[in-house]
Amino acid sequence: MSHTTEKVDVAQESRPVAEGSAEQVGTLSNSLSTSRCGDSGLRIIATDDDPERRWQRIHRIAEIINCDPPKGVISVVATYSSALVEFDPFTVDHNEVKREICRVASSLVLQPPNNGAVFTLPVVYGGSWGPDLGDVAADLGIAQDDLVARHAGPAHVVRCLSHSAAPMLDGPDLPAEVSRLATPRVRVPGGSVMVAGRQAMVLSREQPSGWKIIGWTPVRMVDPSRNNPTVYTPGDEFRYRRVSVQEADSLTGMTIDDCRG
Amino acid sequence: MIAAAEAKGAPNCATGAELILVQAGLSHVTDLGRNAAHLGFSNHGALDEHAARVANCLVGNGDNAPLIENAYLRLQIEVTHDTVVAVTGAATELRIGDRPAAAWAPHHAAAGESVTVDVAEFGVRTYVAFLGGVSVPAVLGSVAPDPVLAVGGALADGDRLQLYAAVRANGHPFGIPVLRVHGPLCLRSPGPLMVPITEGPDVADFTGGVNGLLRNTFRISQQSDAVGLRMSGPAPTSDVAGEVQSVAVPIGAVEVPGPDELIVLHRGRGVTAGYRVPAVVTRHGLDLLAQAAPGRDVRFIKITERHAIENYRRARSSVQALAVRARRIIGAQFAVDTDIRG
Repeated sequence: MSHTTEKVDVAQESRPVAEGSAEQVGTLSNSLSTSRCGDSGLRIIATDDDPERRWQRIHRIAEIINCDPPKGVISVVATYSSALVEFDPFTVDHNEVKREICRVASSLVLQPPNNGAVFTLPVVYGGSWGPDLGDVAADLGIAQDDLVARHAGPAHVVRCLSHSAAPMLDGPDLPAEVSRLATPRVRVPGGSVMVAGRQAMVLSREQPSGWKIIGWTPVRMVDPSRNNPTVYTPGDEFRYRRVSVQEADSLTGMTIDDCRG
Repeated sequence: MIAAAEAKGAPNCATGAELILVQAGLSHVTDLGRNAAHLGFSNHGALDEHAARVANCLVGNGDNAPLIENAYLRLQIEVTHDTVVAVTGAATELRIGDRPAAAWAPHHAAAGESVTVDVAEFGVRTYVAFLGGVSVPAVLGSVAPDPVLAVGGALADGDRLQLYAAVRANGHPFGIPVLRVHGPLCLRSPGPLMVPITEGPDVADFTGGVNGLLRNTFRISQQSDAVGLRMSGPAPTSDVAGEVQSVAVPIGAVEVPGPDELIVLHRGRGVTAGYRVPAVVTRHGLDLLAQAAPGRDVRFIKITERHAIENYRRARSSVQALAVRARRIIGAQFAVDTDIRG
């Protein structure tokens, strides 16, 4: 651990909390650290050995704090094993924010995010819609149809939200990691279905990206007319359904809300 | 009533007060930004946050009221009703009708007059606040432009915007020197802009920590915008190989994509990234960078988080005090008609 990473001793720093179950006490020890992240932020890092537990811990803390943010805390942006806590330094400082995090962390019961919603997205694979499908399959030594089947078959967990709420998901079960492009593309269209490493993503808007594009969905991922423009949250699952270009055309205007189930 | 506002159900202001963008420059309506990073949405708020707060406070608004942010080009706005206006940021002066007026101070603009802000000699972004604020639809608590949320966008010549308030003068015209504040003078000084940073989460992964940032001068490139400023110069190198798992990065994060390049993320930044972050620019530093044009040289100064927060709190406290004084003085000079129908 680097010298900039500072262990948070949950037991010492937290306010007295009511006696919890053995499981609650067990989740405290050495399971969370922080590192500096500017005058308005703090990075919190879960240190469990199991990546699934790290993800659960970070997202539970984020969920609780975002639901009812303490004074001065703006948002907790959780990804995999860590989260950025954004705060207003006019109102609170790093130590006060740490105390609030500890208070939440000390009474945490680890569980998978309790969403379980499933969304099924129509995807056009390959061709100009998924220009890297052939290369990815060749690099992995599998057939293109096999790659599509591994991607479109099982459900994949939404792990976190990236740019403009683009869902970052577990990637398909593949023989090796998928490399990124040496030179990122400057413009990748919204709706692009992408893979990199062991991860997958569906872009909600046009942006630069070095991920490999294997397909495209006509579904609008973000609906600004809703009070909450993002429908899916970490812990939900995506399935992909292979469709023809003609069918994708006929689905223009479909929103993510139409994809439930 | 503009069509977009109707469609999104923006409050309908019965004051009838409007702005007419005679020359729209490179402008849009914004505020202090959207606090929805946990949903993946960028802040997108005023890049010079301090200047935006001061502009609003000078006209008696809350510091987050919707106002106009303009860059580089000449801006001319006609008002249909009497109002109070303040201009801050890069501009040092403006004209109301044909009267010259100082920036960083509130002024009375009479119905039919135009507020004109010429191209700034120093700095990039100018903030124009009107009493009551501009009435445009908010999404997720902010009017800051975001293409995915279909909020805002560039203003065009001839656009009309509603105001939440209009005023009637009680007697004498406005002109209160006590409400004049000063913009940052360092923008005008020759030589590199000095930008404060704190050590970032991944400083230990870089050879010599932040020293590589402190030793060298960096030049802001043309490929700079609200997402981030690109800078050329000898960037620090990382000892650690391998890809970084996606993590959430703060506004102000310094990223090092290559040996001769830095990126400083600003308020339009995507919330996650896969680069190591050796340093984070302070809030004050971000305000300075908002006013730094391509070609400007930058040097970084290391300070502690505590020092940064102390400075920030001092600045915010003085803006709060200013807001109280401004409201009192404007209240004494004008009757304010507001109509906010939510």
